[in-house]
Amino acid sequence: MSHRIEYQWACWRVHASPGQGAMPRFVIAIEGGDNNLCDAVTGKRSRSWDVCMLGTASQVLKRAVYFAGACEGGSLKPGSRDCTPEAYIRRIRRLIEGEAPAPAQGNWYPRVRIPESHPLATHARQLGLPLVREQRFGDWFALIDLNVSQRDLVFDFADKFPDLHGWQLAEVGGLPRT
Amino acid sequence: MPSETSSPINEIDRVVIHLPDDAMFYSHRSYLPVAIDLIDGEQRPTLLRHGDRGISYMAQYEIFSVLCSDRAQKAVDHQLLAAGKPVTPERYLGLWRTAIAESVTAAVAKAELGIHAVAVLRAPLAAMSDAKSSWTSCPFGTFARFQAAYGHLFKHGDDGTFTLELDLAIAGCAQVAYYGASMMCNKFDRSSSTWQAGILIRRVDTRLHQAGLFEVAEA
Repeated sequence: MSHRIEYQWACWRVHASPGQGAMPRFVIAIEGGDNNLCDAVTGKRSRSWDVCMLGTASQVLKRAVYFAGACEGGSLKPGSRDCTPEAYIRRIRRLIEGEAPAPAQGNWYPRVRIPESHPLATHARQLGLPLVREQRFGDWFALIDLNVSQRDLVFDFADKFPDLHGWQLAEVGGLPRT
Repeated sequence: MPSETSSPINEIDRVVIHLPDDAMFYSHRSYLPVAIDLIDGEQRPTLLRHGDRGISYMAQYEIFSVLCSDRAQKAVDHQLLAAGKPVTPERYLGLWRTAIAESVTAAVAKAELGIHAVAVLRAPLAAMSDAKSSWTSCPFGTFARFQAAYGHLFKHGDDGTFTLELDLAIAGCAQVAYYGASMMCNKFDRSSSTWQAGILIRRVDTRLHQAGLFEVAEA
């Protein structure tokens, strides 16, 4: 049965800015891919780093619980091994509650790409943020251009629009690949 | 952050009903997970499931999928309590794992725990007359044979519909409900309101039920 394999996890702890209360925010990136897709060049299973969870500890854990629901049936296998949902949630909890340092190389950056009809597009216009239209696979998306100094805005977006996934708000670069 | 104004769910117990192995064609054991919530001082059973339609008997992995889509997430920020106390999602899922390991038959759930599972099928009778099952494992194959076997239990409405209630505690009824509903799914659009197939969970008084059993035993 086809399933997703997760290979590596990275966590950044972002200290709260004055506008965001006292709660620290987290960005969890995961290197993962499907078990039945192979890279044509390396022959290895395809994989990529994606921001999968983003926000407060509570928001991150909720998203982890949602992903964990796929573990019991074998649709999600961390390290290519069977895993209970409980163990998966514990793994993410250790990332955000532990004192592990941020990855030695690589970083995350804001990159907001949402369906054009999503209410965040209207919200961004109201904030005066520049929007770029982009067509992907026939559907129109809005790209919200944020510079690094504005990156904490993605946490505001995650608070305001909990339906958005981490990969719709941020991306990572420079992380080591397995 | 959006404010949560609703009061937390207080889940005080869990009952998992396991269905007979022939209830449907999958080889894995199928279940009905029922959460017992305390609402205004009253214990209310709630069937946990994706969506609110259809006769869905769930595999173990589907139960965890449903839990992780809703209640286990609510446990994170204490919008769900276990017996009145905060619980981590890991611990909460563990409670359900225990409940699955201690699952009971629908008959035991009704007689000893007061949880009565009933399948309800309702559809226009005329439209169903030529319906067939798409499953070769269906014990009746066509609606005509289904009606011949269970028509005496139909309740007929003024609008030409029939309603069939099947007590899942009775042997064979889980299978009848599953394949009966599958014929209705074939015949009607899933979103149509002209038909209904679902499972109701009712609370019954176990003392009365057990008294009834004793009466039969003594007769």
